Amino acid sequence: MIQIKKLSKSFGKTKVLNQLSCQIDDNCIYGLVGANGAGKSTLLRILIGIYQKEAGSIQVDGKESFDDETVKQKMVFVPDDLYFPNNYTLLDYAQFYESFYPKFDKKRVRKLAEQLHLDLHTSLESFSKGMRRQCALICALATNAQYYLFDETFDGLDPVVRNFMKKQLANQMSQQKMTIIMTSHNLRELEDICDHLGLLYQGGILFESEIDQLKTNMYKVQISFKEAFDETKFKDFHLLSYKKNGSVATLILQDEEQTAKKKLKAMHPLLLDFLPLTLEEVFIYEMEVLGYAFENILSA
Amino acid sequence: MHLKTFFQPKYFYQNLKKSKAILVLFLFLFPLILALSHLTNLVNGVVDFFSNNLFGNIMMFVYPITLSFLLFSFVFQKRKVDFMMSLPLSRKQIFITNTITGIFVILMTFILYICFLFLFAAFGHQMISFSYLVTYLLYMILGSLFLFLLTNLAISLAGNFLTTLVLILLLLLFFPVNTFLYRVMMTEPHRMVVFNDTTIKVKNYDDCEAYLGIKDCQKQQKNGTYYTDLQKGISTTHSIPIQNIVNLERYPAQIPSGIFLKTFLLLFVFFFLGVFAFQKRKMEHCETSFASFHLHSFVKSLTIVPIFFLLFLLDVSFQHIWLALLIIAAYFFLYDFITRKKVTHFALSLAYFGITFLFCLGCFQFLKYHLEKKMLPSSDSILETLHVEEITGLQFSFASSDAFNVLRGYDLSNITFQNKKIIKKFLSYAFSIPTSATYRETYAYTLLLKNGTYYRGYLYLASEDWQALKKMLQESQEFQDYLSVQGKQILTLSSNNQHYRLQELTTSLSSIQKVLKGKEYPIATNGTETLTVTLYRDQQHALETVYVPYQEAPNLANELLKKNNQHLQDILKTKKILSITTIENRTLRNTKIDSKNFEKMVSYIKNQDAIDVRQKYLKFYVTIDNDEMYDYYTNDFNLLKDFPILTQE
Repeated sequence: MIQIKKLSKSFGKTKVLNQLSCQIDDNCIYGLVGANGAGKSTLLRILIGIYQKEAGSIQVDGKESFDDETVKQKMVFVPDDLYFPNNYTLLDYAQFYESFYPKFDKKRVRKLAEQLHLDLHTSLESFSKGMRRQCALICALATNAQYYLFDETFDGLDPVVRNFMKKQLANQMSQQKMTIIMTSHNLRELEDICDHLGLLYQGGILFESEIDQLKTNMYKVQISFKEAFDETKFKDFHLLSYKKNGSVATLILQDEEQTAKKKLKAMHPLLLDFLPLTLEEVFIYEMEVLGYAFENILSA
Repeated sequence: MHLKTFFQPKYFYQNLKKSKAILVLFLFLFPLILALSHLTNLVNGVVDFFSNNLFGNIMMFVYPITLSFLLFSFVFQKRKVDFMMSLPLSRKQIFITNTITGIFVILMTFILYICFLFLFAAFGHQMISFSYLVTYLLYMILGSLFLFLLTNLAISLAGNFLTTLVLILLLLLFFPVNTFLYRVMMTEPHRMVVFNDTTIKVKNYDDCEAYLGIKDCQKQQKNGTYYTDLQKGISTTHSIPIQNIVNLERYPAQIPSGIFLKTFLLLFVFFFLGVFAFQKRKMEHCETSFASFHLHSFVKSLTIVPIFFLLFLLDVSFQHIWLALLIIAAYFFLYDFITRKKVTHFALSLAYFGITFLFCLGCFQFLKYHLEKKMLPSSDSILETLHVEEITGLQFSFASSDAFNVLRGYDLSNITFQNKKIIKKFLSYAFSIPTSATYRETYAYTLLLKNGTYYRGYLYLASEDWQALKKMLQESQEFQDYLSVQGKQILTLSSNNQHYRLQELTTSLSSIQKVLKGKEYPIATNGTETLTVTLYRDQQHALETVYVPYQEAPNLANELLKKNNQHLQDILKTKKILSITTIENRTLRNTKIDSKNFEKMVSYIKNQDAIDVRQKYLKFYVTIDNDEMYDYYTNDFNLLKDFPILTQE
């Protein structure tokens, strides 16, 4: 478990992280979302010990993490901008990681490389950007570490590889205790992978929740009536949003779905459609509840 | 505490693997070129490691600095920082393992250098003085490690490549340059010093009257004091790399005794500071000079301190100082642009510039005031009184001389006379002799004081006065100790046209001393052919050198050769001869005697008498069982019949 308490970090006069606190439980995939410069990468770099914190504490399994090689051995970090030593092949790269991670599984590297059609003996410099990212991910997975920190690693992967990696993560999670923290500035990149989401804004976690919980208690309804109507017609509901276009209104409700359906049907609408919400929409309405304009939070 | 807390063997291996291509190039190219450069730099047939070795001097700087950048330059690139610092290693482990990798590579380089050196020397027949080689290796290894650790520290402190270079220069040169400028300021020619000791009897000293007038001078002389003009200075011991720079101007290269200890101690200082700085390093600042603008400005200001001091020292005129200040100010802002890629905090920069200028001016004025206070304001004032008891050492050197036959080579310049009686005797004697209008040479002497300062004076003596003074000094224990060399020395006998040449190892000075007894050939006349006989204490220091006029040379040479051949015969008769090679004769190339003729030749050599060098001779290189090599001469040209291979051109 990773516990972060009142973590602060500045770059010059810019406060990047400000009294950030959060808890990341074991066996979860934690998605960190935020605009460019929100502090996502900085948080990961502090977690792995690249940057030093200014204030606060980070405890990994109850142990202060900074510059402790035993704690760092439980973690692996894949940054957004990858580096590979000159003339290294995938095999060299795997051997490099193997030196530092005792549980490193070289067979798995060979297997995954074969599945992804990556040649083990070709210089990584001759690979495309996406292929190099796959190599980094393969080696990271083969470390069998307990904590995986992915900084925008899945952004830009093609859907096939992305799906493949997602399956690999799921398989590995079913076999061993592991926690993944991944960042993105794009919610769509995270929604199908993560089970927990945190929104970084102005150096702190503005909002965090389990994705299933977010999606289950919120839904979109399109409704129309013979007679003219307005927002007051739905005063008995927990209405998060109300928009009317012509005679059709779009409602975002946060009520128990079956009860809400019954109540709405009893109003004899001409049109009644229950639609699922995208994660981005869920976030938008949650933020609106909190009094923030989501567009401002996720735009750099 | 576990060793792995500091050092990670797997990371060490990966470090070498990561840079294998460049390391292989370094590990073979550098030792190979260095060995070749040394083997072509011979003095009397013996490899001279220190002098005239530009490649070695340059590589002492370039090699360790490049190596350090190779291992640590990841800190200057964000993606490399991410890669390296996310590995399960602590910062201490990364720094120490990288440092050990560098030390390992440097040591390997010099091991390979020794291999190349001996391999090539075996084929080329160059002689290598073992003790000299050990000194050189210690000098090069410590110098290289010094620069490697200094660069590691600079990289740990700075945020980009250019600032690291500035820091390396600052760490390396700031103190020596400022000490040099300070020394220049503190060195005052023509300062008057009063030596005060009742045991010294001054017979005559002309300048005393010039300073004090006849009456006062006579009065003072009765009190046992005497006066002289001396140059005051401050002694400093450099680190090896700085001494390396200083030695570029000197022949032979000087290796002061304290240099190894100072460099060795500084290695530890740089190492521990490096570990601390690397642990505290802000890795996010990997493309700018420093995280703090104030630290950046402080370092920037330090770079101009020597320039300001130099300007003040040169006493630049008012108009020129404005121009100079303008140029320095431009540099000040240009520095920002180069190292930070932007010019910000204009007012703060200006403030730093002003403060640095005022600080330097203040220091300079303080030193100037300090000096002026001690300056001799008029002829009847006394500048400084120095008690003889304060003097801890006396040294000699040549001030202007191209010959060293009178002073017996470099011998006296390597001796520090510490005996109080000798020092008093010297002072009393030296100042009682009037300056000779017909002096032949100028001799400089230096009086060392406990506090690191020294006073340097000059003697303008006639030959006979110098001989008398020399005799007095040679009776001292220090001189006798210096001459009583344990082990073997190198004797060189050579003439201008290379007709006579002998390199021989002797066990004592006695052979040359016996030959030279009663003969004095003190002056080498330019243009006349002479025979030079030099006995070296070791590779660097000559003990005895005599120039013998050509007419007398063959006799003397033969006499010496007889002595040495006898010595050689003694050795060759008792030792096993391993190989015999002909070398460097005008008619013969380097040829090893083959096995068929070897025993015949050994038998011949063991029964051969001394030769007359006036005749044309054959020269052989003889290697005996403890790997020592000897030159062997013979004029028995019948050998050519027995060994037809020798006739090959």
